[in-house]
Amino acid sequence: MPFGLGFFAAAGAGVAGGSFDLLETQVLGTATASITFSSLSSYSTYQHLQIRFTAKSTRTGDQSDLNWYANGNTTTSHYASHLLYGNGSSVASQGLTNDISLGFISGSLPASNRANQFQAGVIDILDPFETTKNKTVRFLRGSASSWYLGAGDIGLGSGVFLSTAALSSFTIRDRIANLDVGSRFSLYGIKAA
Amino acid sequence: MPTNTYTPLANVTLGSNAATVTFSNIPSTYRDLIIVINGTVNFAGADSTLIRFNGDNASNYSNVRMVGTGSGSGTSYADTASYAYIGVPTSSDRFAIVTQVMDYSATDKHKTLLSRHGQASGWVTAHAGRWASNTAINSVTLLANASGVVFYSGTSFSLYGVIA
Repeated sequence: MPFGLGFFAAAGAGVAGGSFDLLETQVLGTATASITFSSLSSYSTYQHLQIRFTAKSTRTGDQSDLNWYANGNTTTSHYASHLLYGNGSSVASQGLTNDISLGFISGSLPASNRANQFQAGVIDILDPFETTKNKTVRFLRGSASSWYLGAGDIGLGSGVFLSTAALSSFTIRDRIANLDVGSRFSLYGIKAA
Repeated sequence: MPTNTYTPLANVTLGSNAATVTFSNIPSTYRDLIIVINGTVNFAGADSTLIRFNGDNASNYSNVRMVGTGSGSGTSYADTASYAYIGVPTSSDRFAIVTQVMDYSATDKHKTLLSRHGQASGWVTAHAGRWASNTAINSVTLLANASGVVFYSGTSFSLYGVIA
């Protein structure tokens, strides 16, 4: 049952000031260890933030780790993460506290020699500007890529930054190598009523 | 400057049973697509809801998924097929599927999708899929899968575009 969409093609990208707004996008033209959204304070009128990404690593022959940290804080004891994932053969759950992964997103970032293969993810940052709450994120990420352990993986998880300070910056890093050219990270704001 | 997005592109509610639904002529104006399906199917056993892009029915899709059936610790599968999986609904009750097609308009990378499916009396599943093509996606076909399986009348399909 086909449905053509030609009639709305002129609808365009929308207007300023909605309930789900694009705030910033970073597309890597050169490989870099991390990306940071550093102007979060200017988005404090939003209740929640979302980051949508496609990313891969410059690491060769092996997958890499994707982590996050907030407000420039890399003290490991300030982060904890839980993950549920399936790798094509089994399902497992993992918890990390006081770990060098800080806020953990993925251990399956495709290696650079997996041509054109990127991991995708959607990260929700809940109540980032509330000053009475520790900061919670949740995410869904996955890649059906040909990595060395098998078929890739699909995972969902959550993480916490043990601080009630409002978020001023959010950094995503490749823990082992660099984020490769073409990786894309877009930041969105979600309004409350 | 903040720019409003998550733009509704199309919404279809079936007036009769259908085995497939295709959204065509999708503009490249956006970066990601989000597809929301809320409906019922006629298959008593679990069967996968599928997706294809640009009418490509060759074995260009890689899949990995995890499944929780309501008992046990869950299972995970992977394969290469002529489609990607986005859910595993049964006829037990109404199901919901939300599928994210990332960088659908990009021409320098394969297309990766993330999908979650849930059903109170059925399974809960999560999927990653990769269409091994650098071509921008201009049509999406949703299939109820096996011969004779249909989306029932009343099933709704919503398509959204997200800029970046």
